[in-house]
Amino acid sequence: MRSMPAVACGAFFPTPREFKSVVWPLALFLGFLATGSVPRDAYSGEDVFSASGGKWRVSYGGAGTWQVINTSNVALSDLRFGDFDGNCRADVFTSSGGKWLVSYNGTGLWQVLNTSSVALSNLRFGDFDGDGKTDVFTASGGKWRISSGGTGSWQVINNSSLGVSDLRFGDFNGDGKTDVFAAWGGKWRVSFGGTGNWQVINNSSLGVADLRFGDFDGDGKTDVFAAWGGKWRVSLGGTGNWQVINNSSFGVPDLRFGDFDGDGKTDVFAAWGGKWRISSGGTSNWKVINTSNVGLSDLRLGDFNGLSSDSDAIAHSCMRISRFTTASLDNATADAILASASSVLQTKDGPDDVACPVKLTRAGNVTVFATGGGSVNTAAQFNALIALPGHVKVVNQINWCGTFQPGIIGCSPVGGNSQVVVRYTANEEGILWAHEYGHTRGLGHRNDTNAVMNPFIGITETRVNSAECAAFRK
Amino acid sequence: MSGGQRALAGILFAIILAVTVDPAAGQAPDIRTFVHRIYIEGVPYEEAARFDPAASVPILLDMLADPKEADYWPNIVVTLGMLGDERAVDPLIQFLQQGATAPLSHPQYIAKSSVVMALGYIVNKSGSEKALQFLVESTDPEVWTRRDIKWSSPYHSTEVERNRQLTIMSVLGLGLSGDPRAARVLRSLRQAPATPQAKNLRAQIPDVGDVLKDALQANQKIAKTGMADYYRQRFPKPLPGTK
Repeated sequence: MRSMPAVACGAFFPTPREFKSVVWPLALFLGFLATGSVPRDAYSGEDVFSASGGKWRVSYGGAGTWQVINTSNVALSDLRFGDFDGNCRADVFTSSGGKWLVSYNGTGLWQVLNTSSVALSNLRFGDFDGDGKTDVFTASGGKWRISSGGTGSWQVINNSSLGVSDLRFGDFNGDGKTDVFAAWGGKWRVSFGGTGNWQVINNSSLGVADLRFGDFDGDGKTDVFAAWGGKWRVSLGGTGNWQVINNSSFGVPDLRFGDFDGDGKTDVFAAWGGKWRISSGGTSNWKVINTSNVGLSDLRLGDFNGLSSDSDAIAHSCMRISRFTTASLDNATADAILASASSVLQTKDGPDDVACPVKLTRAGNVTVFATGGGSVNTAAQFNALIALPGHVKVVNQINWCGTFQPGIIGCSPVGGNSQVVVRYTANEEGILWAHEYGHTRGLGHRNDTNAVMNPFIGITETRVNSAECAAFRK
Repeated sequence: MSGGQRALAGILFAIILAVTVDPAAGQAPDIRTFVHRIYIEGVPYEEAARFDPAASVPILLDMLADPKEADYWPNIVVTLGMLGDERAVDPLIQFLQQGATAPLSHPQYIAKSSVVMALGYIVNKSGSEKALQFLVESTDPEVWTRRDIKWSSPYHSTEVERNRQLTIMSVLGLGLSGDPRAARVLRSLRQAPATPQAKNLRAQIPDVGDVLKDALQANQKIAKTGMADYYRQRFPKPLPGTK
């Protein structure tokens, strides 16, 4: 069995947002509801998972050859997926003998996550509390309950007579928490976070069995997908009118959904004629991504390695990124900054530098927060931002970082969970984010004009020593 | 101490270590090089304060008037403040108040809004009555309209929002001054029953209470142990194995 890769998320809260784009694939595969939610990070494409002959196999990005990642005799139909440790990689979940078991990253040995007598068929998965770890959901006796992270005891989050078979899940308001979706009486309704009252978001005669879910426009909010009359249609955010996005005779039972090309938009996946195909964003023509006789019913989708081909030597850190409403940052820019930060750490560019194998990647879409006024003026405001979910919070101005000081562009609690930054010089933002990430990994400053951890930055401040590298890889 | 306070106290914030020399050059940078750097946690006070104001202030004022230096205006403004030379008060106030109605760029906005905190540094070092008076008057958010400031913030959709932030930063300037006269003003704005001025401030900035409290604490700390010590206390301890 492959050893577990080093993961640099550490104490970070992981990604909750990926649920909106991955809850539905499993529902589609299983032909009923979302019974698992496979996390993904936007850097990589979706991976394809299968279980047969006592082995679990993954085709990374859906384009790679099958690789055995584990051995297990548990049938595919008894497997569910989620990110229970919050490292942005799919873990495999099952229930047996009154115990919940998890195989972290799909590569680990089964470990007991919790004890429960609730049948697997009555479980659903999502990040209802927004902490970036998959929670387990169930509905019975007129109540909805979650087990936070799969390890907590059942907590009642709402009262409803609807059972799990009537429900679907997504992040319809883009707040990073899984919402509950249902349809009856010609209306679509959402309970935000699973805790709110039902709110009508649209009028439609289509019920949940006819619907699929994904983020087809990449705005961070779950969209609703349907197919009829030879056309694929999307209701953006579940609130918009149907928009035709493609022509195809394939109906929803023949389709699966995931972000295979890593552009932050959900793609449509199908398999026929010994080939796997995707329609990018659901709008492009079919593209063959692989040849395989394994059909839809024997596949699951998820991001099992975070990347498609990197070796285990690289420590991956998946980072959820958010910005204040008036701050400027989109997915592409965030990716560019993270790529720059990764390059700064990985590149050996001096005798006292080490090539530090750390890769920072974006988890989910850049989200928006309204906490504070976009300026950090007090300790309370700073702490409020740090308490928000996610790892990078972009604001417009920082005037407090332990003491009052104007003109701060980055501030992080040393050994903390997240960093607060201001957008700044484009070619040095990667250094800034790497520097602040270093603080969250426990690093202080180092007075060396070539060091990433130098208090001021420039294009030469790119070096990390071995001790710092070890911290970056924690 | 509450749990939250303990948690806060447990956090080591990453702030500037004293960068006394440029290790690459083996000597202190000149003032131009100094303000052209990008300081992650702000201009380092101790290093800025080592420059000779007599020689440095004219250079910085020239740079403040040079649009080609606009990207560095935030550092220039703050450094002028840290030098503590009263000659910078009028140019800084003029710099803050001038400008057309078009929205400012990010560095322009940061520079202009930082003037009031820079004035706090000047009060701390020189006791400038004019700078202090400007800050005291700036605790009224409506003063910015009366001063006929025309420029728009890139981050605030209304003039009222811009004015609130400028007033909040003025309160921080009073805190940074470490001046007992400023402390009296801060106390009066916090006291109950509220004075008419305090009522007005609280009405316009409902969450100003935290700002006043933190600013007063900073003022008292700086008054007691000095600005350098105020900043020195936040330095994190380097990890073993680092320089």
